[in-house]
Amino acid sequence: MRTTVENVADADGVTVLALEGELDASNYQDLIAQVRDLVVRGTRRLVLDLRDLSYMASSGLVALHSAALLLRGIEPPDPEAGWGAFHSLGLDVSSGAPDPNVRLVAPQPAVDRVLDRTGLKGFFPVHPDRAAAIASL
Amino acid sequence: MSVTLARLLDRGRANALLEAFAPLAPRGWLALVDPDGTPVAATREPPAPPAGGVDVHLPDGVLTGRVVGGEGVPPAVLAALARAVEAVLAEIHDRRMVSLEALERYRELALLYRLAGTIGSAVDPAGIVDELLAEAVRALRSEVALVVPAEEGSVPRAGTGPTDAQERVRASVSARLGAILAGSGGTTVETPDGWSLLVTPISVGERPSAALVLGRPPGSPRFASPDQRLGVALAEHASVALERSRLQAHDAERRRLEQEVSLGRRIQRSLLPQRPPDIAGWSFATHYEAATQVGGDFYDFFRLRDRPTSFGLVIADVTGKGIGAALLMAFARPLFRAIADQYPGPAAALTQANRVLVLERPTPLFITAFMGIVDSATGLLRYASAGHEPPLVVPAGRGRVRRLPGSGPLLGAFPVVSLAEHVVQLHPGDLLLLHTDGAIDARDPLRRRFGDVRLARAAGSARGRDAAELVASVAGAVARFAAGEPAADDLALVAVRRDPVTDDTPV
Repeated sequence: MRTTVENVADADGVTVLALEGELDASNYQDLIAQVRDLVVRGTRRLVLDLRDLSYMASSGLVALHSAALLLRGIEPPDPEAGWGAFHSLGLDVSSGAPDPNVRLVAPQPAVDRVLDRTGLKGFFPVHPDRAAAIASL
Repeated sequence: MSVTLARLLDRGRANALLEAFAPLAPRGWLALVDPDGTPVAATREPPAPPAGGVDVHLPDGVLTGRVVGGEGVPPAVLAALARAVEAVLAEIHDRRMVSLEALERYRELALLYRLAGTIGSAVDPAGIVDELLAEAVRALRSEVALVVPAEEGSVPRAGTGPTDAQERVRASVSARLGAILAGSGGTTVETPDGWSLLVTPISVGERPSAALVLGRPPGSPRFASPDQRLGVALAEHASVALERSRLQAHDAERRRLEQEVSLGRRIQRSLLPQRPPDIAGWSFATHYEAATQVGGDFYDFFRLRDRPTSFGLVIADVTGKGIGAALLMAFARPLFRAIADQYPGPAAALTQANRVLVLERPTPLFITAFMGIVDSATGLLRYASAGHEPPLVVPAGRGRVRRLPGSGPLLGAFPVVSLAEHVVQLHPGDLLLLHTDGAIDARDPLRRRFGDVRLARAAGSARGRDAAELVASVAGAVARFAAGEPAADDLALVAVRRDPVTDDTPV
């Protein structure tokens, strides 16, 4: 998977991250690390452009959710860590309402199906293009 | 300070040379004098302060003295004697240089040998740094020795020597640390307040991580290039020890993770039902293949309390990999069983399971799950899906292989979910295939995915057969498709058949 970062000039703290290729168990940790890095550099709201993402495995859902936590200033436990992570309870603050900080842009049908099937579309609002996603933040 | 013949040539060598040449000057005297005319050796006492003669130079061209002779001594004899003296001096010079170098090499080797013992015996970074400082102070006669990390935490910060002196040295180095670390080798620095500093980068894993800083106070000898070389040798030794320590720590961590993975795998396997339940009129078959990493796929069949003619079916996939996934699965499986017993239907049960998972969820992982409750007498399957891959029904008759519709949010992400319950009628001879995404996500060597269509085709080819044949058909098709490509995800398959009605089927 390749990613491209673009900061939105006239919207403070908004970053567009374009994903290209496949998001799966082999690279979802990289995406989490990249979002962590963006947050350190000042990103507060994130538009994930999925136009060129051809596939997303269930691990990708973990990456999206971890990204939402990071943008709320919460460090998610390492999903592959050992007993330590098992004992770190109660970190999720998802309220069931759409996430205020993350927007998705134009998922391909295969990715859209996964988001739809797993109910994450209700959590991460989906927009047809970048401009609409940025405007909604 | 001139290097005089008197200092270089001992009297015995000088006299031997003169005696060798004396027969060539039978009527005059010969003498070796310093540049200022002071005699070093002579065949006999010169009558007057000697003048003239032939200059004697050291190999590097420096004038070191003269060969002079009395009247009647041929100039050629003086010249020859001068060349002979020069040859002897050159030999002495060479030998001295060689021995000095050898001695230095020896000292360096001995030091390095000792370092290998001391620094090398320390296994933790703090111990290595302490040994480095102790050796550096001793070998380089410094009053202050510091290890200054490039960034906090990369290498332990440490120092020896008077505290105020340490602070002074640290302050004068910290501003230019970046530039020093960017260069190669050591640097000597003269501070405005008269300290002589020797700064040497310490690299751990390719990049400079810290500096070894040695300080000599005003009035003491300045650091020079041999010190620089020794500083580099010390720092390199510490670098190797630090790198090794880092790798060992990494290795220990890796071994610990491997143990956890094998433990996780054992947890996972031990939780899968060893044997399908024995329910009249129904047969079951399962297939489970673990990927290289521990995943969190699991399935379960169970009888329901107070509902003797019904049984429960669960297939689930914990998103993500590793020990966390296996542990979440270990937590979820008994949860599903207990909740299925207590709630009237699968949708209510999964909704409750979600509430527990959100409130007590141990990791940021989610679970996709399909739960079905089958009335074994009527063949009615009530089910709900929380984001799971839709199961397939392979009808006994002519109908198409179909995916069971309906899916809601996965478990563990949202405090409140709304899941719908669906009902499907299974007829005698119908097959139901539950699967995890290890099947459709299996890849061939060209990185193509197995996908829904191949899955439906493989399932359909078992039409009219039994549960074991359905599992074998799908697992075989996936394996042939993957053609040896390592599986990225666990593959779990559960086949359920409502057995065809035969004459001896109890009514």
